[in-house]
Amino acid sequence: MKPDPSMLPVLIVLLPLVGGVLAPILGRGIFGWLLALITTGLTTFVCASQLLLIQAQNALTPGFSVSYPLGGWPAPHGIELKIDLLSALLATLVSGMGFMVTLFSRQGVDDEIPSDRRRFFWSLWLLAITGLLGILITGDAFNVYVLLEISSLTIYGLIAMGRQRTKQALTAALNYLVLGSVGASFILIAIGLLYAKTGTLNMADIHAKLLLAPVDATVLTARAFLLAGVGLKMALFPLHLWMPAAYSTAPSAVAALLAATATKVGIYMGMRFIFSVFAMPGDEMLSGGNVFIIGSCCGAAIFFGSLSAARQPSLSLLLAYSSVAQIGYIVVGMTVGHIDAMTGSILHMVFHALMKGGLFLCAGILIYRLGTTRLEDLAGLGQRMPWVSAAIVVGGLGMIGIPGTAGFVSKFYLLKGLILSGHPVLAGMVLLGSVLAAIYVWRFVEVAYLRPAGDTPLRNGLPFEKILPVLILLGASIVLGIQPGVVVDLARDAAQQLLGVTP
Amino acid sequence: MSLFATFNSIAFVVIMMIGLYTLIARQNLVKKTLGLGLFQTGIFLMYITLGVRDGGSAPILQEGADLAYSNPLPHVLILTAIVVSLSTMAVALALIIGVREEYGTIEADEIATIDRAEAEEGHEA
Repeated sequence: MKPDPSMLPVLIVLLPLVGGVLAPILGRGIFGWLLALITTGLTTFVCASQLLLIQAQNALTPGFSVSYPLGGWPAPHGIELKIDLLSALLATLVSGMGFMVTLFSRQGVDDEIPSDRRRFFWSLWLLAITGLLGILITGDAFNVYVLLEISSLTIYGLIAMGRQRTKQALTAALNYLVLGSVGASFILIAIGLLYAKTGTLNMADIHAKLLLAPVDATVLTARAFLLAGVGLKMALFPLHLWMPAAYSTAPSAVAALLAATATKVGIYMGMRFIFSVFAMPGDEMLSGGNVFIIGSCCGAAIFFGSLSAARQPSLSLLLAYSSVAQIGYIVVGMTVGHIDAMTGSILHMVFHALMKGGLFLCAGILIYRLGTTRLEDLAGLGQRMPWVSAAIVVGGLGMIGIPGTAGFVSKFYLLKGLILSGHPVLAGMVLLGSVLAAIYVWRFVEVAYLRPAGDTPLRNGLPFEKILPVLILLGASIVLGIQPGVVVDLARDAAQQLLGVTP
Repeated sequence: MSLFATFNSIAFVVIMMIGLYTLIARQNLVKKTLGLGLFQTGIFLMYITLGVRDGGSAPILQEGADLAYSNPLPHVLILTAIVVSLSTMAVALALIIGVREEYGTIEADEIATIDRAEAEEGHEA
């Protein structure tokens, strides 16, 4: 693990940070959007190059990761950026989704944000992406907390900008602020306790020191606080209460960005702390009672999330509750600590980001053209906007996990891992979840195709920048459903690296 | 563990719990925000207590003297956390001003009643 001499890793946070600072100065008119587009595009390029580099190196020396000492101070005393395969994969995903949603959002933002606020919108937008990417690539526990708060504070502001459309955006943002801050404070307590125990903040160093010390009450308390805090951030049932209101009232671009990236980063924090910091051989971390508790939360998330989704009055809320259920799938895979389940979990993070991102972009098109996503007003959408409703159905099929969509591939690995590790009940919940998903997807199909067309007037045209990202994201979910090989290999290598299994 | 650390350990838990209770039990949004601030202050006290060493002096290197120093790192960390907490309060209060403009009240239960009434009228998506 020799340090990489190239400056590329630090650019991953530096580019969007600089963009975010420049946006209020340069971002008048169309320039804010252009700046965001260029910045996220460049960041995606850097992340992807790191991903390819690490994948190539990992094939030669398993467990390879890129390390970058900030300011030239070596770890464990300096702050270290540490990118392994999982970090690189998710950083590519987050920056790529950021690029796609930015590309989509020009007219939507013009539509929903008053002109004097737009440059601040793009500033917050880039800073939120900075925070999310930073969490993914840092190797320092306290840095995680700071970057988490950077992304959270900017996201509260972004959600509140939905007040032009509905004033409930303000209460949703405030609700999320209160719960999110409590969650982040819990993570802060956990980091404090870990520091008290080990005297270091570097994650790898904490892990090494924990391995030498017996597990005592301090470590167990730290882990409990950490799981509660991360659970709030990733919106794991029953800590999901902030999420549906936030997703359905935020500006459409923000909802798509959040659904595709923010909760995934929360899950990454959980994975990173559980497997790279706390995990130790012979520890009962991921067996018995803990699997029962987290597994029950996931099962309840899948069950109640899907059922609630079927009862929602609007497409945005339906998609938000569907996310509650999908987070259940992702977390259940990482809970059992089996290599196939972990692969499925990582795959589902990637595929769910593509599909749910695409679906929220479709909801964004509906808001742009109809001004609403209420299911009543979507009657007969199949005739009025055939392509958009077809896209929503394709995304919905992915949510169910029909063979031929990406959702099937990740659920297949999840099921395989859950059964092989001896958790048939959890496997049953995953299957039941697919049936329940069919109910909420059918609700949209019934409204869009089997009802006479409504008379809500259509406004605005459908510009090319809005079609292209939807096509790419949902197209990718189909292509990867048929030819998943590349991503499956990446996810499996990342899972092996995370669990410390040699192939 | 010194008397100072024992007292602080009890004090920060009490402060955190008062904050958390205020956050959950009060309907007034400003009071909720104050509860959040109190909760975070409790955590700051925890970190500061972590850095204290029996008989330790302020961590300023003195030539020739063989002194025990308190650990400055938790204090530095908590400076960052105080800034974060301050920004959180600022964002929360800004949002509350917005809520007051739109709803005319800052009581969480009254806001919920207004939202429910409007959902029944059905003019909000």
